[in-house]
Amino acid sequence: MTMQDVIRGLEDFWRARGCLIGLPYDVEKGAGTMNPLTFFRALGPDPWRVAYVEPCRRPVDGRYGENPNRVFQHFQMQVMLKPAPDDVVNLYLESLEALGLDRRRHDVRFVEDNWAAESLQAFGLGWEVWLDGMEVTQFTYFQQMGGMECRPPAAEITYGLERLTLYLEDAPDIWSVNWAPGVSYADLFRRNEWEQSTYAFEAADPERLRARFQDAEEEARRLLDRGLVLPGYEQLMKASHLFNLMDARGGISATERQGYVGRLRGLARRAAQGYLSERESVRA
Amino acid sequence: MKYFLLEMGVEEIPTAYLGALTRSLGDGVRARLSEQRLPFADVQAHGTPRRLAVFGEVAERQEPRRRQVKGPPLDRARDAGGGFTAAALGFARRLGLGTDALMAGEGAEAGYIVATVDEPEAAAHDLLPALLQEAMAALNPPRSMRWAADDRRFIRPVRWLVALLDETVLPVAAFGLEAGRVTYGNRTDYPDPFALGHAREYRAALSAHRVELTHDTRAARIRAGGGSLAAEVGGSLFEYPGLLDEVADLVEWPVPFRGEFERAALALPAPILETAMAHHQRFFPVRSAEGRIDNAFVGVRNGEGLDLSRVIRGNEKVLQARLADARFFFDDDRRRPLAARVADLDQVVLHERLGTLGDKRRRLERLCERADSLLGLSPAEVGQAVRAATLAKADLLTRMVGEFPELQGTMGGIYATQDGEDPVVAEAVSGQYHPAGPEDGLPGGRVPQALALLDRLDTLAGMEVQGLYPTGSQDPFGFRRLGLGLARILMEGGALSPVPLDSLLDQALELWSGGAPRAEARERLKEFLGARVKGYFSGKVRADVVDAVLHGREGWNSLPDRLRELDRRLAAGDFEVMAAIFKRATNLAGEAPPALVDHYPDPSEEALSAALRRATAEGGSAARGGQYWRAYWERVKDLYEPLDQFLEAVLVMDPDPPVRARRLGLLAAVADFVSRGADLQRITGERG
Repeated sequence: MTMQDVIRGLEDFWRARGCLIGLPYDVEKGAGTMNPLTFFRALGPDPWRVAYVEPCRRPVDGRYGENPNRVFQHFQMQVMLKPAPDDVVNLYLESLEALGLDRRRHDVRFVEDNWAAESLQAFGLGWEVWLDGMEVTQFTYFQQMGGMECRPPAAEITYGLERLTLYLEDAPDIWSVNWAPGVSYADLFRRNEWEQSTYAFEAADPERLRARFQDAEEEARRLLDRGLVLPGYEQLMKASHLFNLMDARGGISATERQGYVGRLRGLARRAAQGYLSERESVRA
Repeated sequence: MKYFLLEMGVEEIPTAYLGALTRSLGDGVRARLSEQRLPFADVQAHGTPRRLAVFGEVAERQEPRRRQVKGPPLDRARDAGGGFTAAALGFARRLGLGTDALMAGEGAEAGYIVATVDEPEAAAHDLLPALLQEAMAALNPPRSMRWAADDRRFIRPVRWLVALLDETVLPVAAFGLEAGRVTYGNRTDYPDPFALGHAREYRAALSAHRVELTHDTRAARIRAGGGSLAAEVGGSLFEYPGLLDEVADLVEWPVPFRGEFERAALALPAPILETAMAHHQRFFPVRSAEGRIDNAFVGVRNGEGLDLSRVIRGNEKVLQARLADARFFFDDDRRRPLAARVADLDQVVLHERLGTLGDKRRRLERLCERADSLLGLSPAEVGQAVRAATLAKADLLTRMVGEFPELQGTMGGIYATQDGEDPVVAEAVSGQYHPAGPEDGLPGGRVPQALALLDRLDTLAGMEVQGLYPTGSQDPFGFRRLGLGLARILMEGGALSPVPLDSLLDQALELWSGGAPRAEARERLKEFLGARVKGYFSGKVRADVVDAVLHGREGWNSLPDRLRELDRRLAAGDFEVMAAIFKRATNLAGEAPPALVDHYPDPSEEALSAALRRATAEGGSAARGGQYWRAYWERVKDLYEPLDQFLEAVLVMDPDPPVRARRLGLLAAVADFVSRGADLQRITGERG
């Protein structure tokens, strides 16, 4: 089963369960949660079901394409269900079965793992899901997003697509995973991994990153001040990615880190508040 | 008797809290049954990752209870003709009784009308629903969550409830659910719901659906099954601390399996292999007959399933990738010796008010330079301690510790050894974070103990100077744990001969504040450490006794001996009374300096000074084991009679100044001797 089969299988499964099939958002980000289809839609009372693929960049995880399953950029299949259905865990297990994983021939384990994105003022409780010992999914009940309580809490299911496919293809590492018949993951992304790792760890100019971070942060603030929530949030996403790049490049002290994260948190809260008050004014 | 069952179906409960939740459900139900006078037998609570259950026998009805109710006074209850008044009739009517139930009271109720009431014996069926609901509501998981639009909270979502009394469903409602008789089996083998006919069937029915309810049984199966799998390859199961209990709570039906990894990975140091297997993957490492880590492991799968081959292959692959990562980190770390990383410690801020790791390193070196006078190290040992202080924190900058934080110290020790550092230095680096908790062992040897002690001393001095004391449950830096570690090394680390605590604290505080430390700072820190010691001994020794011994003048290295022997002495019964007179002597002596003179004119002075000379003559301060302190408290006791007679016979505050000074000096010398072991004024008899 190739990676594109897995994507299609999961999309079909969740579409049949009432999910809108969304698209990735074209700004660099560290996790599918940051896509406005999740970040904003997790707020407020309106029901929402969505599933989409999202490329996620984590500069510190770059390994120059040399690690069997750790990479600068990977793809997530992000599913959000609000309100969380009572049988959501079972739905998840059925989604694995839809990919051909017979639960009697595998071991699926839910191990406590509480998710928190400090810079988004967001957290939730849940598990990482182990498939025969490999973490393939993060399963979270959102409790807070952008500093606002999630009512009702949404269930978020984040599949690690490479790892899941690696498992299904019984491949030794993600590089040998087939994206499509005859086209390997290495064909598509190995060069990218080397270049992006080199960029993050060696070529990035710390001063320039800092200046760009500041620029994005100021722009976010300016836009949020004018009530432009979505463009402001885009700038926040950019700032967050630039912070991750600085982190990988090294030289951010613990104190500085707290300062940067604190600034992002404040912006995330304002974006969430802005979104909610706009929704309320529509409803009123 | 009837049989009741309550089952809460919960999405996977985190292992860390399962045991406590199970116990508190059982305790809560039993306590409420007693309160409600519902006799019960064999009420047990059990927990698996997916359910909390409590069940057992319960009487059909409450125990009968008769009680006497006091009515109006006799003189108002009967009229002149001897008949009952309206007041008495009203009293009987309110209780639903006839006048034949009214009697004259006796004892405390004499002079009043009383009535005997048989309280209604409510049925278990009527009492249990509210009782079980209350017991569930009283469960208070430390980290709860919301999963629905309302405010219901629990550790994870509650998805079903079963409540039965024999065959009958009890009307129990909680967490937005109504209880029924439908439950679920093991996720792997029996995903579909099934109904329970009778509460008594519960355990057997679950077992038939591959759920073993009892934690200990699950653990025993893992140990037995895993043990034989390990034996098949000539090894044994390595029960990494805490792992068996954790894995037993990750599965409802444990099925152990064995996997392997490439022998080449055995080139990695054993602690890395153990951490990767046990800590990250929850595998049991297998040890060969020679006690070495083998290239095999035992994992545990939830349920029987159809076949284990994919499960084994998958788990092997994950471990292989982890070990490949570890190999990468190890090789990368080895491109520079540990010593070459020391300069980079300045780049890492511990906390904005605690400075950088580089600052930490320099202060620790400074303290280690003084370890001869502070802890009795030889000059050669001081050299080793200083070198260990230089290298101690360098492994925090390695990739391996970045990825496996629990290997801090351990990796430093391994890298130091490979770099050809003095083995004692490597051992000290390796052991610096021990003891990590009340159960953990101390580092062995003088230099390792010295480093572990001085590191904690420095951190806690920083906490004091920067005002970062933990409050309530907030202790993000783990200062309390560090404090207990410091206290335990002082008390139990037999290898060192530390100076009194005051001097140790002053030295460490001075490095932080730059000048002579203030006495309040030292006292606050001592108070903080004392609280750790009290916590450590709580439940074992009376709190007031620990407090008294903590305030004795001797160093903390003798504290456990002093404590044990004083406790034993107090238990003998004749000591607590005597303590009063020593308190009086201490108060009388006040600030007077202890002084003995050669000749005492008064016989009672002479007798007391002679007794004190005998007491102080025995045993130098060098060999002060338990023996010494046992004898010490005996000698304190021997001072009692002469002291008592002295206080009876003479007037201490004699108007003649030389006489007064002589007597005060003698009393002060007695108080001085006694205060070495404990501050007896603090023995209050309160157990608190």
